Order: sequence, then C-alpha cells, then structure tokens
Amino acid sequence: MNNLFQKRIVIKKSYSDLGLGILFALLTLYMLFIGNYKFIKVGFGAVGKVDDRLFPTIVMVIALICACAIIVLAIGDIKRDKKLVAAGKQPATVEFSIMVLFLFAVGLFFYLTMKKIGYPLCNFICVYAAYYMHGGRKIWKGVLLAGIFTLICYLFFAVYLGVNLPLGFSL
Amino acid sequence: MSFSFANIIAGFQQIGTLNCILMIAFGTLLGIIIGALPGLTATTGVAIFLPLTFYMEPVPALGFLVGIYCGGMYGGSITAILINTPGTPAGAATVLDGHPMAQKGEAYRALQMALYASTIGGLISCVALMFFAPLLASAALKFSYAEYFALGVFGLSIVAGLSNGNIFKGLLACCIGLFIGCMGMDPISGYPRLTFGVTSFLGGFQLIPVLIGIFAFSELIKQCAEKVRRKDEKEEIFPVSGKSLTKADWKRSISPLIKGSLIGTFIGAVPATGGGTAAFLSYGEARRASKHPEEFGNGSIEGIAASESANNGATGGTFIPMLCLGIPGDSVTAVLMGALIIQGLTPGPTLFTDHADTVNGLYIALLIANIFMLIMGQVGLRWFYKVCLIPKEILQPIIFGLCLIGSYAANSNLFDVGTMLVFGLLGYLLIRAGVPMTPILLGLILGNITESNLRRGLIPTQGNFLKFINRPICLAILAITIFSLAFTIIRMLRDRKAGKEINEEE
Repeated sequence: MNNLFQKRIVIKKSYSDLGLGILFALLTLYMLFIGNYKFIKVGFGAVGKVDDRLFPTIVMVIALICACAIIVLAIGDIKRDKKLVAAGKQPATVEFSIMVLFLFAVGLFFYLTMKKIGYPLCNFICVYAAYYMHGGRKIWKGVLLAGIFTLICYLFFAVYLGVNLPLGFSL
Repeated sequence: MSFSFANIIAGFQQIGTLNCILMIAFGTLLGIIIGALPGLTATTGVAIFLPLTFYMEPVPALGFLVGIYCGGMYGGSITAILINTPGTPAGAATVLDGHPMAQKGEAYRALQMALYASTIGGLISCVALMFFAPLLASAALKFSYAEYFALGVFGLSIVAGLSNGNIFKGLLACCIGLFIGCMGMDPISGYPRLTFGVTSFLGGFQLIPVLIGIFAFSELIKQCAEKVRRKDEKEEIFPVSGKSLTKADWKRSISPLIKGSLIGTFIGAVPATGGGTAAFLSYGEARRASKHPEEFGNGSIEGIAASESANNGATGGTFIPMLCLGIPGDSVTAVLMGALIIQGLTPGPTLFTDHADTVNGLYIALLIANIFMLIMGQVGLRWFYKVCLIPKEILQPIIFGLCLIGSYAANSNLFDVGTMLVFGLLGYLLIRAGVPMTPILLGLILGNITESNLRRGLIPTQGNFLKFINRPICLAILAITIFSLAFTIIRMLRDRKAGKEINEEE
C-alpha cells in the first residue's frame, strides 16, 4: 500500500505548461463561441452590448490571450529543454502525486455517505483513512485520534453551535 | 473622516466584552501554533478557522481571525530559528540570521528579539492604520463607478504579479476566479447565468468552501504528497538555550526595528505584496545601513530585528487598502475580506460610514492581539517549538477533518463539501502547474464588484467605454495598471532570455 501511495506522475514543466495552455485555450474558445450563448440568456436591463454576456466575454478574451501566451512560451521552453538534454542536463519537471486521488476519494466518500451513515461514523472513517494514508500504522492510535476528534467536533459544532449534523441510519 | 481619540474609545467599547477578549487571545495563541508548524501558514489557518466565525458577532469574529494573522506571522520565526525552515513565507528572511544564532547556542536571544520585533512592528503598523485608513477612505468616498471599476482592474492585475515569474499564469488565474464569480445570478438583471442547468449553481459558489478548498485543502494535499517523499528525512531541532537580550543588542537593533516597522507598514499597504516582501526589503536595508554588515547571514541580531519587525509591520499596512478600497494587501487579507463579506460587511469606504464601530473595534483588536502575542510569546518562549514535534500523521488528519466540517458547517449543505473538494483538487493541480491561488480568490471576490460598476457606468454612456473612463483618477489608475502589466511582462521576457543565454553559454 505504501508503494501505491508513493507513486507519482512526472512530466516536463514545458509539456505541463503546453497542456495547461491548450486546455484553457480550448475551453475559452468553446465558451466564447458556444457557451456564452448557450448558458447565458440576456436579461432585463440590457442596453446594446452592455448585457449579461459582456463581462464573461471580456474575461474569456483575456483568458484566451493568456492561454495563447502560455502556449508560445511553452513551445520556447520545449526547444530550450531539447538543447539542455543534448548538453546532458535535466530539464525542469513537475510531479503529481497519486496520493492526491486517494485523499480526494476519501473526501468523496464523506460527501456521498454523510447523510446516510451519519457524521460521527463518516468522519471517524475519513479521519482514520487520512491517518493511515499519512503513514500511521498503529491501530489504537488511529482509533483514538479519529474517535476523540470526531467527538470534539460533534460536541462543538452540533451541540454548541447548533449545526445540523445528521446521526444517520434514520436516527 | 480622520483619526480621533473618540474612535479609539469607541473601539475599546466594541471589544470590551469578555467574549471578544477571549476570542482575540484564543486566536493569537492558535496563530502562533499554526505559524510554528511548517507547512501551515497564517493564510491556511485563517481559512480553516473562518467557518467558526460564521456564528459569531462581527467584532469577536474579526478579532479572532486578526489574532490568528498576527500570531501566525510571528510563529513562523520559531521554526525559522530552531529548524532552519520558516513556518510561514514571511519568516524566510529570519532564517538567514536566526538559525546561525541557534547553531551557536543563542536560540533564546534570537527568539526573544523575534518576539519583541514582531510586537513593535505590529503596534507601529496598527497606529499607522488608525491614522491613514480614514484619510484614504474619505478620498475614496468621492469615487464613482469608473474609479471602482479601475480599482478592481488594478487590484486584479497587481495580484497577478504574484505569479512566480509568469504573469500570464497569474492573469489566467484571475480569469478563472472571475469566471467562477460570474456563475450564479447576474448582479444587474438577476437572471441565472452559467449554471449549466444545475440547480445548485443558482446561488453561485459559497466563499467559505472555496477559501478552504483553495488555501487549506490544496495545501494539505501538497503536504501529503511531499511527506511521502521526505519520509526518510528528520529535522534537527536546536534547543532553546542561551542568555537573554542585552542592552548592547537593543542599542544595535533600535534603528532596524523602527525602519523595519515603517518599511513593513508601507510595503503592506501596497496591494499584493505582504510580509515576505517587506521582511526581505527591510533585511536588505538593515544590512546596508549596519556598522557590521559582515555579521549578516552569520547570526546578526539586527537581521532578525529588521525582518521580524517588517513582517509583522505589514499586518496593519495590509488592512489599509483592504478596508478602504476593497483591495487586499496580501493573501491573508484576501481571506479576511471574505470574512468581512460573510459578516455582511462590504470592504470599501462606505465601511467607515455605515459600520464605523466595527472598524474601530478592528483597530483595537489588532492592537490587543499584538499585546497578547507579546505576553504569550514571552511565557511560552521555551515551549512553543514543541508543536513542531507533533507527528504529521496526527496533524494532517485533524486538518483534513476540519476542512470537511468547516465547509459543511457554514450552510449545512453537502454541496459546499463537494465544492471544497473540487477546488482543493483543482488548486493542487494548478499549483503544481505553476498557477497561483491568490488571484483566483481575488477574482472571485472582486469580480462581482468590478462587473457591477462597469455595467452600471456603461449604461448611462450607452456602452461608450471611452466616455465611461474619461475621469482623471480613473485614467490615472488604468494608466498605472497598464504600465505595471507592461513592465512585469517585459521583465519576465528579459529574465527568460537571460536564463536562456546563460544556459547556451554553459
């Protein structure tokens, strides 16, 4: 399991920038030519071009310019990286950890099950899972941490502040 | 509007309840602990504990968060000195002389100077805030739609400059924030906009879960991923030993202390700079003016005095543009702006007329937080470092749990938890790709104001933009914006070319 948590995706920074630029260029082009008309209806108070679509259009245009600039700079970086590699040097890289997905999955578990199984049990499981993912292997420590933290949170938020925290199982 | 002692008395009356004093004290203590923990910044701390303030009155809520801010800025010096790792970015300059002093067995002296310098810097900046904020707010009251629009654009462009070398990524981040801010109801017509057919998007994204996702959850993910890589590395923590500060230390440090406080206040008032920038500028100035510049970098007490007085000196300064113009001075005040908005207070000059009591209370809360920081710091000088010994497998799950409950508690809505998770993941991916987070938050906060002022100003001119901006102050602000953007782009391209030439020469 530890090996799985330690896996990472490593890509060159220049390719990461190129991907970022292309992604946002495509998104902004979609929004400018299709999205703005499909998802924004002109409402009351429009005067000529001064309507609900004006500001999003301006934002999309600026975003498109920035995305194109990022693409151009990334292409320059890719050429530079080739020279670096030829000279025996390593280009800059960016790492994405797989652990991120597991942490997100634990959060998603909380989102999907909190109403059904209740906050106390759901939070206990999520905090214990986070403890395990961060390298905690002593079961009693994890149980104590998750238990005490869940109890304190429940007492503070539900009892003291009056936040509606479901107990689950139709209780 | 101007400074008056009546305001000060009114401020003391606002915070004169036991509840308020306790919240400021608790916030300060929490801030020192958070600042002392590597990986947690004052911004993260304010974001995580922001949901708690949802159920409080404005003044105790702001006092609590201001306490975290002040304490957090000082707390970063503890790990900077003892572990050679700044707890917050603002503590980076303190490492240069703090850690060498700890290595020589003078950690106690270094920590004492960091504490006193932080307090003096914080107090001076608080006084500056009380004097200058009302004056700037008076001037800003005369602004119309065009000036507010120009200020919004200026604020967004300045923050984009926090882009670690690539302003286009910073501007892209602003656009992302602005786009997200456009989702929900149109501010003029009230029609649903960019909801993509999803009912939950009708109200747009709530600020608290977005804040927690961007600043706390994404940071947690980043820490989590780095922890896996650094599992074999153990940090050496120096003991808190040595003598106290001497008269000679004070004599040498008085000038850097005063200068650092003033530099911090001034730099903090420049939008999108903050304590880190102030600390390094102050450090550089202290070294230049010192009679013993050779000691800097090897354990100079003046170096610590300069950097710490500046980074806490920025705390009051950052409030000036935030309160008066609605443009945050740094990322922490960007989050604090969110706190103000959640409390129903709109940052800007009208805050000083409509909610003068709250503003006065905020001044005094900042003052009291600095005093609490001094007391707590002095009492706990030999013990605060122990928080660094808390294992990450205990601390990170607690932060994770707080992120989950914090985002849910604001509206008892699971959609907000989903928002927090998505923004956290998006934040992590964007941070790895070199896109900064603060411009996204600012786009979200300033977008509505900027758009409303733009459209309200354009309607009378029938859409004629040139007629809309044809006002001296508006033109001046836009000119400064264009100039600063052009300057930043040219500098960026020049740096890239220089880096390219160095590589080719090698």
